[in-house]
Amino acid sequence: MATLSDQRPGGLRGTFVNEVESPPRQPPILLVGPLAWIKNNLFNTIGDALLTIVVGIIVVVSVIGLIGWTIAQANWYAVTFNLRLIMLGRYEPEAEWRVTILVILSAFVIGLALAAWARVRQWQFLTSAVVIALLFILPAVITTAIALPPWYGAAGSINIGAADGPMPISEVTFLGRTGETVSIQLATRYAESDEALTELHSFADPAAAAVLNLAVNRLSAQAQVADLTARLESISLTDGQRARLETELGRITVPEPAVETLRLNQEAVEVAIINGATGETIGSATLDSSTSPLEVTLPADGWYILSKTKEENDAVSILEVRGIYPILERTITRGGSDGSPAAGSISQYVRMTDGYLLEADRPAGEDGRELPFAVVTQNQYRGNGTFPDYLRLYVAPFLNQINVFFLVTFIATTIGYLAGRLLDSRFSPADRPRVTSTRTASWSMGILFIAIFIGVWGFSQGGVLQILAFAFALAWLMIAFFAGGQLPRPAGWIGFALAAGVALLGLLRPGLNPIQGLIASLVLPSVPADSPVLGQVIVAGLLLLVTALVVVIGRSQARGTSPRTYITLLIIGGIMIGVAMLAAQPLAEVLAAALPLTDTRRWGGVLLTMLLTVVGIIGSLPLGILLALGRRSKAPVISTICTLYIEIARGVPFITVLFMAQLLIPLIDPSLADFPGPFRAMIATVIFTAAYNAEVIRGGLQAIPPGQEEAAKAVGLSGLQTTLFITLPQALRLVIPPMMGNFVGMFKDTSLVAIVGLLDVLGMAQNVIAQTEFLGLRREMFLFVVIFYFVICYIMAVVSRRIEESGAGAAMSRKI
Amino acid sequence: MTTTELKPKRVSHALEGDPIIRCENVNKWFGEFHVLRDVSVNVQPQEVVVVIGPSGSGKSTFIRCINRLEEHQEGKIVVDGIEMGNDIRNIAAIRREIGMVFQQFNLFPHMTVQDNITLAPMKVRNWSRDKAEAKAKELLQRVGIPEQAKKYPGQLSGGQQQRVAIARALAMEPKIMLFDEPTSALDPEMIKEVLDVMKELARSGMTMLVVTHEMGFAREVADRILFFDQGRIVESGTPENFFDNAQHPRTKLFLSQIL
Ligand SMILES: Nc1ncnc2c1ncn2[C@@H]1O[C@H](COP(=O)(O)OP(=O)(O)O)[C@@H](O)[C@H]1O
Ligand SMILES: [Mg+2]
Repeated sequence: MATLSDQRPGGLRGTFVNEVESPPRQPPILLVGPLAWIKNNLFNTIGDALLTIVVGIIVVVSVIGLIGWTIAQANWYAVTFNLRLIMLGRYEPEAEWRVTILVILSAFVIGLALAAWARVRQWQFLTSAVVIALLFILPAVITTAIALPPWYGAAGSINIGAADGPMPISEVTFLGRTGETVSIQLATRYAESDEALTELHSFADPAAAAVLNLAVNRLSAQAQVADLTARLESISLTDGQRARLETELGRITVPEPAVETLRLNQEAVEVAIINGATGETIGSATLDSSTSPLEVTLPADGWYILSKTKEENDAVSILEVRGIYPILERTITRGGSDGSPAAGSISQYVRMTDGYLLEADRPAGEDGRELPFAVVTQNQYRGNGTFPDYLRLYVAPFLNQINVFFLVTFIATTIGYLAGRLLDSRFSPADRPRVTSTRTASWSMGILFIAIFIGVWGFSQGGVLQILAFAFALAWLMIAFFAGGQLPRPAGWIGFALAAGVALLGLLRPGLNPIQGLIASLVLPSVPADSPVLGQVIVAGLLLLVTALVVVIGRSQARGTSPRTYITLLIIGGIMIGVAMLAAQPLAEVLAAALPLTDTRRWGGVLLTMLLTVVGIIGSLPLGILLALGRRSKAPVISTICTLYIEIARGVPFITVLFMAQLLIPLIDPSLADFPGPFRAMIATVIFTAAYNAEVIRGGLQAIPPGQEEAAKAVGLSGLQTTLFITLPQALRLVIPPMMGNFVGMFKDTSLVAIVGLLDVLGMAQNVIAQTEFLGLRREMFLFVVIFYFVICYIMAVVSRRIEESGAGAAMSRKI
Repeated sequence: MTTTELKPKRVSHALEGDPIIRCENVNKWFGEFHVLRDVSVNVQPQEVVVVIGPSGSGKSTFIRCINRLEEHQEGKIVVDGIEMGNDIRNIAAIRREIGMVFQQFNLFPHMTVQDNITLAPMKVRNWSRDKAEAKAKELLQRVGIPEQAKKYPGQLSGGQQQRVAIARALAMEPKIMLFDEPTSALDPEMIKEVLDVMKELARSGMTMLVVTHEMGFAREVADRILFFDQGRIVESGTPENFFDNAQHPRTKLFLSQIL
């Protein structure tokens, strides 16, 4: 190939024309693709390579350790058996259906939002569908392919190991179901030697566990002796060392093999299965090493007794029993807080392996004695678990509990998505293809928020005014929305303010001072209105006033709308309000009957955490915007007040704000002493987060070049319009990442409400592991909580990134 | 001015024959710094006035006073018969009639080109969306980029952005257009496309006040040239007089430096 110097022999003579064609080539393999990535990011320099290797080793070791613990040692019952508590707290079971419906609605709205602001690719949809299908297939496969591990119980009449060691129990109660087979045989395999005994890993009763301990102790003593002897045999020992090793050796005594001292499985055992309800023996046998197992098929669901007796001698037997599983007992409180007859506490018995639940008291035995209740609450898994046992005991039951939830959510999201696409294809103009779904999604979100609040809590008899106010606001919104052509115009906002005013005025009844009225209006549905008539009169008066205003303001605001449309809308709005006025009272009664108020003290778990988060986000965003604008305001009074608020709220820890909300609210007015705790926490969250949002948004506003405001003014926009359409939208886009950071922080901070006595996810977790049957399972529980928080935070981060990257955000980030 | 007969007749608060912009002894200070000193100038409807002068002489400040992006402290500015004072309604009324194009374009980056153009007519003049969009389409055609309506400003070249900015200002159907060095931030190959649009605008009869360093443009289009120095109008005259027969020593010095 000709080179430059070939063609320019003289150096400077004449013009150089490069006539060599160089077509584009593929880059060298190390410049593109995964190899290049690895080279550039992980092994760029020697330092990088070292760091990569060290970090890699640390990660691998710790992950392997964690996974090993998760599978072999962790006991996940605390989690799998308390999922309802962790999800809903002690929320009334009678009201649970509301949460179900709200979850479905939320999923539907999420689907709409996806249609409006994102695109779901086919492979994403298929992957989700496959995952959901796996949630059903996996547990089914696991339960059929993997047998439940047997339960080992000891029989005998001596104390094992020591004089005060455990004595085998002769009767064990268990829950059985129709058609299940229980098989009992001597655990011959393990009784041959101590080594064989230590192989045993499964559920074991205390006596059987004690037998195993004997074997383990003996083997370790034996190993120690072997080790010392080996060291003594070496020649290079000094006399002193030798003497020390010998005394050490002298101190250790190796007991006789446990299988021999206990004469394991040497004598016959009488076993029987007895129906717990009738006392009738269903099957019995005398088991010795030569007999085949006793197999009994259970005739009905309910309690059974396994009786294992032995003649009085010094032999101990270990029985391998299939079909008996540990049971948990828990006491739950039923019925409403209103003291209805159904209220009271009952016991539940749950089979750990499949969640089969018996909700009854233990029956009395045939001669009136209580059924022996030993061992049923045992959940000790003896030894290291195997992977199949892990799948069968924890994974399958867990998946079985969550799969329906995910399926329903998935279907609702899909329907929402398809609905959004359908709306767009039918109603959106070609140049704004997503406008319908975007509007629908935005509206649904607002309505969903109200629905969540009212749905979770309920509705009181006095909600008449609220219904009126709602219809009023809706009518207004409709007029402003369609007549104005797009976002609500000032006319719409005035309508909103008036509707809110109606709600407030209606609450200012004799007996409530303005502060109470204001706070009460925050918690609309719970406030009983004694005088709906007064409320209706106020509404009617305001309606007239507002109608006049609509005509005046509307004409100037919505010049593009034809008068016909406008009048039509006014009439429809009027009819809506009129109907609402007539229907409010009966509707309020129906709603109150259908959705009785739930006891806020019983809200807990994920439900409470999510309520706090949603209210926190929706409340603190607008408040933060107002504070940020206020702090930048040219009016010194406003800016001082806002600055003070922001600095004070940011200058104290969240926990103190929580405590103040708990302690100070009653000081505002004594009647607020029983203002529900969750609402106090919500107010504290909003107050606290708003200050941080305000600072972030202020930063965003400052980052907008002054030219933007000048250009807006130059085209004639007013100050308010400039803020609403130019500076604020840009500032909000700029601050999405830090603001999402605030929200993630707030979400995590909600766990502090556990300190003021609310049972959010963390509070509930602490509550669960404080129960006796879950003592010692803190690691499992907290690991689960960690995973929960992480997953939600991660989703929030992904959503924030998607918002940043979407639409104008993408264009803006390229170039301002 | 060649095509006078094309100029549309418009309603005006000003009396027939009155200047559309009247500045009388306008004075302005930035703190201690006296940036505009006794500036008096009248602009007639459909006149194209080019303002030139050394950097820092107060050209930008002067034209920004005309739509009240800067506040003058002494003197009188009357636009289209409305006196500029502290009355917000007057300011709003005047701004509706004045379009402005900035050196840095100042397009709204979070909106598409079309939304940039339709926003003000819809919000300020209360046009319906259809009407505003029709206008936007027409204007984009006029400035030569009809196909860019759905793009965001960040996706356009500098010349295209400045043309969108002109369209945005025109969408309000202003009587006066202010240009503050509209081509100074552009790469050389894009300057012409913007100047062409401005020339076409001048020919259509728009009243224009243009701060620029494009002497070719000034010579070709201007009816009058104002030369600013240290906050004062030092010299004013037709392009022919100004370029070929400058009187004031400062003007001569300035011209000798740039030509
Ligand atoms: N906001 C301001 N505050 C203080 N001084 C300013 C401000 N804006 C402009 N100036 C000063 O006023 C003078 C005139 O500025 P300007 O009108 O931008 O000049 P030109 O556009 O002719 O280059 C300059 O010396 C500049 O430094
Ligand atoms: Mg300038």
